[in-house]
Amino acid sequence: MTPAPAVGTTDYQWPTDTEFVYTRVFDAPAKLVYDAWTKPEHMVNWLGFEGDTMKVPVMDVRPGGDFRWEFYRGDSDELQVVIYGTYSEVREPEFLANTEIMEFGGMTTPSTDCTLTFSSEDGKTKVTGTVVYPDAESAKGARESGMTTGMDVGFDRLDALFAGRKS
Amino acid sequence: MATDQLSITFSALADPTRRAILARLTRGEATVKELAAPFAMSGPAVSKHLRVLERAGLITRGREAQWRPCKLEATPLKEVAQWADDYRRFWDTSFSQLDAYLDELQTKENSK
Repeated sequence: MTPAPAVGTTDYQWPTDTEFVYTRVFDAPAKLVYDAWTKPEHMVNWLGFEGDTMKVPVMDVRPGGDFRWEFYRGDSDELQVVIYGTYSEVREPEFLANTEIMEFGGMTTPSTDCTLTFSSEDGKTKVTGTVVYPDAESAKGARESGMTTGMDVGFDRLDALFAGRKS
Repeated sequence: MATDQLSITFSALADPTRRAILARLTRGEATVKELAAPFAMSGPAVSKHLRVLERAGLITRGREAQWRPCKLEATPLKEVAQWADDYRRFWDTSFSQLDAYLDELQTKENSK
């Protein structure tokens, strides 16, 4: 086991060819972190780009329930990002499983199977997120296209892609 | 089968032969025969990879000559790179904001 990362940094791994895992520790109790992730009145205060307006038209956190998060640029009606899916398993305040699709910049990710685990450690909460791609090919495309050499179009940034959280 | 541009681009990029072909094309146009040369692969096998790349909009092929030279099209790659950047920024920003927001919530809680 690698030690949990400190607050403020995110660790990420590709344990299999279709699965991406990220870990981040928040300095708050699990119930609070879970609420921040699942209650619209809290979500709108942190999710999304700085200065964007988040709307949560659908947030039905129970097995079979849908969610839809919309992010608008500033105070405009210009839709910038949409994240949506369906919950399959809900255990407050420790576990969520859902499908997830993300749209932005005119593009759409494949539907991924996601889980979020909230575990208490010394008054802090470790959040472990897993993202499973529908097939090895799309995961590999996301992960490895950065290895192409000779490209001058920012290919190297692709490795950071879905792994993304590490800056 | 995903049909959006990002999925198509990712699928096209998932194969090492296709990435090698794209890397070769960054140095200029090439024919199927020239592209096949570094690989232990038949012309038809290389042509199959080229069709995948063409469908993803990553290359275009000349119409006039019978040997139809292949040319790299960088736009989908730029879109993917831009998307990657935005995606990372989205979650980086969100997580930092959550750190701050949780602090704020707990401060309120403690001062009650």
